Amino acid sequence: MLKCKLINVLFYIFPLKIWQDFLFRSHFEHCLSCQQKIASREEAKTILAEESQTENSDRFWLTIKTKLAQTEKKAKFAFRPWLKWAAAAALGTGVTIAIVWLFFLQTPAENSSGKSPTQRFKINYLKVENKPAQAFIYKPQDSSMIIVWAEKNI
Amino acid sequence: MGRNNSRKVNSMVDDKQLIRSCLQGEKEEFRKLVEKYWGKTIAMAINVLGNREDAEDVCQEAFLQVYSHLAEFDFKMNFQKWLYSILYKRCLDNLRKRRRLINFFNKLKKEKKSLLRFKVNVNSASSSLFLTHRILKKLSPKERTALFLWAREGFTSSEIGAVLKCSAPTARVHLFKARKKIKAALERENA
Repeated sequence: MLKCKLINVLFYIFPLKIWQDFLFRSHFEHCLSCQQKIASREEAKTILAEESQTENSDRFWLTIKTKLAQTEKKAKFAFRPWLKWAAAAALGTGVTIAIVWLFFLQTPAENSSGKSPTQRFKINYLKVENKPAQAFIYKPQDSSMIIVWAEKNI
Repeated sequence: MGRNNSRKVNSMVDDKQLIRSCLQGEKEEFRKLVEKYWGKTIAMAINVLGNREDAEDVCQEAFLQVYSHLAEFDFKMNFQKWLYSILYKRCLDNLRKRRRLINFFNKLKKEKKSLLRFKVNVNSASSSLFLTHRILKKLSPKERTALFLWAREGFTSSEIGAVLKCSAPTARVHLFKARKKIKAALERENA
């Protein structure tokens, strides 16, 4: 009896499953006095709910059937997993193309005549009789001619 | 009488054959599987959860999960063990949800201002959530499952371990602790 008590203490002191299983297999399984302290299969059955206590399965099946139908309906309309990945990949590609185009491929806009900025006509300063004058620049349509009109400031 | 006969016939039908038929598109064959195992699954869920409403919900969820993953079933495995392992996981999920709900109500309880307002809810929730069986209440979910599988289904420790997703020695320890607690509780009840 003392041995049983000692083993019982050892069982709870070291809660390692392997150790506890070792004690169970080496002692509890064979010791008659310890066997009396654990419930038998029949005793365990007395407190467990059993199959015969439950009602018929028709109602249960109907609920499952309804839920299955609902799940299948949802699955029909739900996105396939690969479709989500495809959409994400397409979006990623689109964003990459837009970034590359914006930062690397886009050149500064050219003027309406199609000339480069260095070739563009430009007047920085205009003087008439050694005094600053107003300048008016005209470019007739369908012509490469540029007319500069200078006017004295009065 | 008719029901008994149909049950006998049902028990003889090969599960794997039924699964193959289901996979071939004969969805009504799934009904046979449900009818064959619903009683056992409900009994197990009641024993683990201690509450019939929750047990029914959990069983429905488990069967729906089984149906949606039928294509993944390993035909080398025993269908009943596979079903029980899914059911066990669903039971644990349910218990976790329940614990969260109880914690939530406990938090509310602590807040004195809202105590009166929620007092009725706390009582009604706890009465329906707590396990009905006084003795089983003393066991952990793992111990309850191990005990059910051992006592009612005659599972070995390695089979119990497969359902609980643990090793056979660990399953044996769970079962041993369960049996010990039950014996003590039964003796206390009798005394």
